[in-house]
Amino acid sequence: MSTAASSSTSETIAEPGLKIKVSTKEGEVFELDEKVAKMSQVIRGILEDLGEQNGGDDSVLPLTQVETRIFRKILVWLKYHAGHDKEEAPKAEEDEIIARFCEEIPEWDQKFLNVDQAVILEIMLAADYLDIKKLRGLCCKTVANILKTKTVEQIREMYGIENDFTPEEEEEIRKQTAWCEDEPPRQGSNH
Amino acid sequence: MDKQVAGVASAKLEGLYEGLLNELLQYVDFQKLLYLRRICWRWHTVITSELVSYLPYVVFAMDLDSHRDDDDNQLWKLVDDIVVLVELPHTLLMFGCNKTIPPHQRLIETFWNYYDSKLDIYGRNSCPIQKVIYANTTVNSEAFCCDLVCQAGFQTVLYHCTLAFSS
Repeated sequence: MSTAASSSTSETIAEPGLKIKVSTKEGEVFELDEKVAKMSQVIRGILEDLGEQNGGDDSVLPLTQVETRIFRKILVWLKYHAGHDKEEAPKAEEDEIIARFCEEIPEWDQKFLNVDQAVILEIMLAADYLDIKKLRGLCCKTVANILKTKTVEQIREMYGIENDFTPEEEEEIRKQTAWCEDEPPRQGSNH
Repeated sequence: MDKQVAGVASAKLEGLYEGLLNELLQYVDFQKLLYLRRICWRWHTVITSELVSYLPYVVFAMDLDSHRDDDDNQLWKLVDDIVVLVELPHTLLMFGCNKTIPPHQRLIETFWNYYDSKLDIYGRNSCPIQKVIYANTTVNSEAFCCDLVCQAGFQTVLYHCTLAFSS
């Protein structure tokens, strides 16, 4: 297991080969190994459209929706996973569902996502934009885990969500599912 | 104030487009999901419209009388080893014991009846199934009002499901 998520990745990718240049919203240019870059389905798609021979020249792929500070974080994640993830054969739907909902978030990814929730959301949006399915899923799972422990009022406050229900509407919705809002009744074990 | 709440004042979940919000909500346990419909109209709409049931397999089973013949008893023996159940439209997969129940509604119904009766005998805290996942189906929320779901303590996950509410 690696140590801190932010410090253990730079040495994990040392493969020589094609370099892909991308630029962030602010115009900062990053040079990525092809394997790392292609973990983004968007970048992969662009490269395929352009013809891969163009990836090695001075072309820069603009990632106009991703800020540099977020891209730096995503790059850490990409490099780590490019170096550590095994090539996987396509899974059957059942296996994919099991993996999606039953596998815990790996320790390295937990540390990586142990940041302010505003940052998690920004990473999630960037992962969505770049179409990095695994990272997007990890972010969603992390945020969902946080939601599970919060009340409606806390969630509204956390994420700046306005309560746009009238009191009557809110009461009506509450009544529909009032049964699920209480702690499930527990019966003692009989053994 | 809760530390997590204080730390995310600038986090804007409202900025998530519907598809991403829906993906996020897929990771939330079913009961909590219903609770989250109270957040705002947008969440109410996403949860209500995006999440539906082949739950008749499971839910209606609880209203039926069990029929404990020999075959069913063999089925019941599997329960101790099951950790995760995945309900797909045509199959009930039991992970942990590597068994698959074919699309035979009576068996599935019987399974759940037995599971319920086992909890009655050994106590609700003895629940061996930790997670039930419903996929590609329609789920009737009221089905979850039954004692089994409320008391057994397993997590219920809906994946690519639509949630149906009666009026």
